[in-house]
Amino acid sequence: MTRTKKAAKPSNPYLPMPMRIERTHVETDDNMLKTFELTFVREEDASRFAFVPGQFCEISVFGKGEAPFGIASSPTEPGPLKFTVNKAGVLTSALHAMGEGELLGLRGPLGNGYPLQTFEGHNVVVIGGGFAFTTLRSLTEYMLDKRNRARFGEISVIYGARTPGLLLYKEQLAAWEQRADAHVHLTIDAAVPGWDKLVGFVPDVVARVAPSAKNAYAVICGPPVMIKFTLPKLTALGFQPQQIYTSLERRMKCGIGKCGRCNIGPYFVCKDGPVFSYAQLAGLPQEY
Amino acid sequence: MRKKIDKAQINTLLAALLKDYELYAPAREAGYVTFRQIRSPEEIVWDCLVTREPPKDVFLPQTEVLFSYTRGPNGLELVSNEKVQRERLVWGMRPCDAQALLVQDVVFDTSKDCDVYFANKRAMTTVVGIGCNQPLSTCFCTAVGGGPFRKDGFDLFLTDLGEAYLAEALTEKGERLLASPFFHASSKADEKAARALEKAALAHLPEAMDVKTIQQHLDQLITSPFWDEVQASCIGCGVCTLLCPVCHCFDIVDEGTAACGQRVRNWDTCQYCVYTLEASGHNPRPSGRERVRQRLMHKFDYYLVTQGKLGCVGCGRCVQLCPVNLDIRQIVNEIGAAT
Repeated sequence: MTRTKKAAKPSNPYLPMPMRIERTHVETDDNMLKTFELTFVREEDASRFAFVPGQFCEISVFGKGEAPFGIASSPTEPGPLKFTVNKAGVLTSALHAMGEGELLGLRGPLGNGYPLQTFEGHNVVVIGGGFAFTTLRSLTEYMLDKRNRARFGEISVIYGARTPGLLLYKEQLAAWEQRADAHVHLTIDAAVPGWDKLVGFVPDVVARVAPSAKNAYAVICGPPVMIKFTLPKLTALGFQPQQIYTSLERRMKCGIGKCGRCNIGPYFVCKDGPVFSYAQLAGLPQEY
Repeated sequence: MRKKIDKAQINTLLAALLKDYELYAPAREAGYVTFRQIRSPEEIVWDCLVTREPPKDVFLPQTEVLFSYTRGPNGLELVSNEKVQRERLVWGMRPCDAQALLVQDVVFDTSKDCDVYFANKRAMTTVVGIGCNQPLSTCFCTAVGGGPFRKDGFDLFLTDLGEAYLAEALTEKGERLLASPFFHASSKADEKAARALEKAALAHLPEAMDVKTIQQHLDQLITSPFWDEVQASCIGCGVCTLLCPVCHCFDIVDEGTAACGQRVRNWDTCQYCVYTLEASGHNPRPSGRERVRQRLMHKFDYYLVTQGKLGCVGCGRCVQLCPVNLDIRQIVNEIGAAT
């Protein structure tokens, strides 16, 4: 039997692209965070893949399944895609055991990135804690790229970890610190010998650095407890909910708004996020 | 177009359709009636109004292989299971279940990231509906915007006139069925009889809910102890969602090794604690209170935001099957009354 209407055949969004692990790099001295640099096996996938900072991908570890990870590299950076993975469960443990040359699957880019056009012409305060710095790395690197730098006002980074060894992307941070057009504030929880930067929790450092809310946006990612205590500090500085953005994480399966798992109120974190402003999240169940 | 078919002719018609279609209809399985594929018209159970499982399995199977994977000398090979080989026909779907299918269409058949597994099955399926002459005490389609003779979502719609069925084609697919010689002309009297049946059925069904007020109240109830009361009797078995014709949540898992296996999706439910449990141990819905709230709010609030309609079609399966007799009608009434 023939079908009356023949639309263009939609592609299957569940099929992953094959990716090769190009390099791996242990980020933290507890060995729990590893960055995987992935290259496309097929040329056509590489040329079709276009993303913005804040988007994520579903990584397949065949035999274990799929899990979502934010893209840590910036679209302005040439070379492989970077993903930094915390060893936490079955899939990430298997992933940590994989080495260069091995094959993974990748679906994406998924979700909406940071609202770069909204940020344009404004000061941007990037606030991160612990290992929730992956897409913040992408965002900061993107804004500091020489092709984009003039589009944004002052760029500040406030990033904290429990110890110096738990900070991600140490080389990148050092490079940003050298720049005159970025204010980088790195902090650890308690003083240790050899550390000459800030000491204290992120919320307190935010209050001490006191970025102006005027003509500014804040982007905040970190453990829930850090966010809980940082938001009032930002509010005290004059930041309104619509000036504060975050990127949320939830357990996900499909990544495209079908499997139902990651909703917060009427939003799906995968399809409508993962980036949200606090104005969007106001009045919704705090299921994140 | 409307025609009529004598009941004595129905099995002959269905036997003829079995040559062209994979046929799904209410049929007995392990002591209950459910929608499943049938090989002979004799398997059909005609007097079942609400099947145990809804027909959603035809489009979103309880377990479905998405693709198989093999790692060979040429790298990674994926073989997708998205193609539907034969045309399908669902016979005897009720209007509530068709309303549910229309909600699922909006979720799956999207312009971006279209779920090809669902959409392909949908495109290859003709849906024949049947009106409900005698709604059950658990039916409440009219309370949530539906009706016992609502025709949206069907290709062909049947009304049981006693000795015959009045058949109305609503799409080209329906017209194709109606072209069969087993159908003959219907009369004005038949249509009048059908209208009388609808009127009689409506008399057994409740009035429409005040959906806007319920939604407004739900928005106020997020942190209310109301949910503690609901969850106090809920045992979290998930039957209300797994057998709900609207609920479409699924899990995706790999079955196999790193070298070869298949990626499978299975129905899942927001009523289980592992549903949102993250590898770190963090669970954004840590207790029954958040999970029952999610079910009610998704159906009576969030779907209104995303689709402009409810995520409940009033089939009453959750009312019939809840092991602790939780009744969604009562919960919604309480929400409507809450301030």
